[in-house]
Amino acid sequence: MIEISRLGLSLGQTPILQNISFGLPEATLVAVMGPSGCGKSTLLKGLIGVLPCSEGELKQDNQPGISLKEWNTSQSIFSLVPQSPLMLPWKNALENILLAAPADEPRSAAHKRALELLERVELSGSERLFPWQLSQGMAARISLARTMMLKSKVLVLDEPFAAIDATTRFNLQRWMLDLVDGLRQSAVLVTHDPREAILLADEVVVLNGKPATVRTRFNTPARSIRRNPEWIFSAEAGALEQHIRRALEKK
Amino acid sequence: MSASQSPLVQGIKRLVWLAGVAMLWHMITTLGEIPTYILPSPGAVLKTLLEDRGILWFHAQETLFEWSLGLTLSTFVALALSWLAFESLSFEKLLNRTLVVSQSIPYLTLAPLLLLWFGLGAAPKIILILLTCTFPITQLTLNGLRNAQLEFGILAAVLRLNKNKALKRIYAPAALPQFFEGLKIAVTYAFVSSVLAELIGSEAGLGVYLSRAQSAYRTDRVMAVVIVIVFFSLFCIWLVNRIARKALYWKVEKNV
Repeated sequence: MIEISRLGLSLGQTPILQNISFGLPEATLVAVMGPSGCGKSTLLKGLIGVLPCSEGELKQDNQPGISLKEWNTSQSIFSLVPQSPLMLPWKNALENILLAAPADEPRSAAHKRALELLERVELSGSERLFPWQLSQGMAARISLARTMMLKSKVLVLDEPFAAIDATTRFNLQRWMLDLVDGLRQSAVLVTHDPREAILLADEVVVLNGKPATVRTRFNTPARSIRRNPEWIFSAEAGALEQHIRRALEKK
Repeated sequence: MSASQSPLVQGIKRLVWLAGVAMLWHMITTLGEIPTYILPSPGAVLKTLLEDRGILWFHAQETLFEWSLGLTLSTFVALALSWLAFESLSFEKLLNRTLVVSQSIPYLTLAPLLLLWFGLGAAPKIILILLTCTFPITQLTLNGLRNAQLEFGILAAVLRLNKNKALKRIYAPAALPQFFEGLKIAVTYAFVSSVLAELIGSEAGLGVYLSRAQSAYRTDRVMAVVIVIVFFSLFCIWLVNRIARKALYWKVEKNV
């Protein structure tokens, strides 16, 4: 269990984020939403340590809290899955995943783990394919496997399906829902798509305002219910979507 | 060049093209009754080429030696400079100004000075090659590194690579295509630079042959040496292209 409390972040003198708290129990996915320009990406950069937070605390299990002011990229709790897959074109799928192997991990162990991750993202047998031979969906899954290779506690997904065509995205979202179920890690999903949020996330946090604070938050129905392919078209899902859209409006 | 054509068809096409140019050339010299000292016929040039093959090869060896040593040194210097400029922005600014200044010097005026300082041997030619060839390789390699940093900077952060590891694993391989572009430009620059310096003063080299032919109004010899220079330039470009295609397998295959 990881808990973020009262996170605040300023760029220069301008406060961008204020008093943002959420919990990340193991094997859960929290979606963070907000109108564009509200600071979703800034939050993400703060979490992975690229931007310094000005306030906040992080608590891991029952250990004493760590100040987020001292947070930096050397911390390995959060790892980003970037918006575009960023495959290195001269390396094949397996080598691209192996890029993320820790320096102290023996080569054979890393190799074994990379193959397991490929299986996890349902791309066994694609290890020798080069990026130009991969479809968008495959590249997105390899990018995910590469970040999982880093063995961090929390995956931070930055609109990972945003650049993908609608049909592939829909299939990837279903696939992702199954993947999260088997995950020991937890995940933060930044998205602008309310349907993606309610389908994938166990908890949805909507940010709004300047500086951005939590406008609304709610838990979605249990995963077993969301797994039903019809659920996303149900009245319940529709109501949740409506609720999110209202919270996303600027006041 | 389309990939669907076989090498044989391509070779035949090139031969036909070459024969056409030679025919036209021959017709101009015979029908126009142009004297040999103005424009020799292709047959006469070919005859000179064969007669002088020994002496041409002797001079070509000197030029090729200068070319290869000069280009190798330029490549090393350029790689070192682009690495330093990549690491330090202030060095990049300094380098940019120096390179622009160095490129705005007309080399025809610089060559006699270099000869005065370094004698008639290979040294002034190699220095001239360094001056002309370092610029394109440095500029393009640095450009490649900067583009790679823009494109893959986030990935380096995600993977928590320090600057050296990011350079080695990501930026340097990503900049390889641009490096080869710079090298291709440098290959021809180097050839022209060494011949130019030899033309002004030297003990050996194709430029020496050229200058003697010019002062004797032996246009057949001038044409012969031009053909040799063009041939070597094409050969060198072909060689670099071959190496580039091997090294950039991932770029070549993408285009298929």
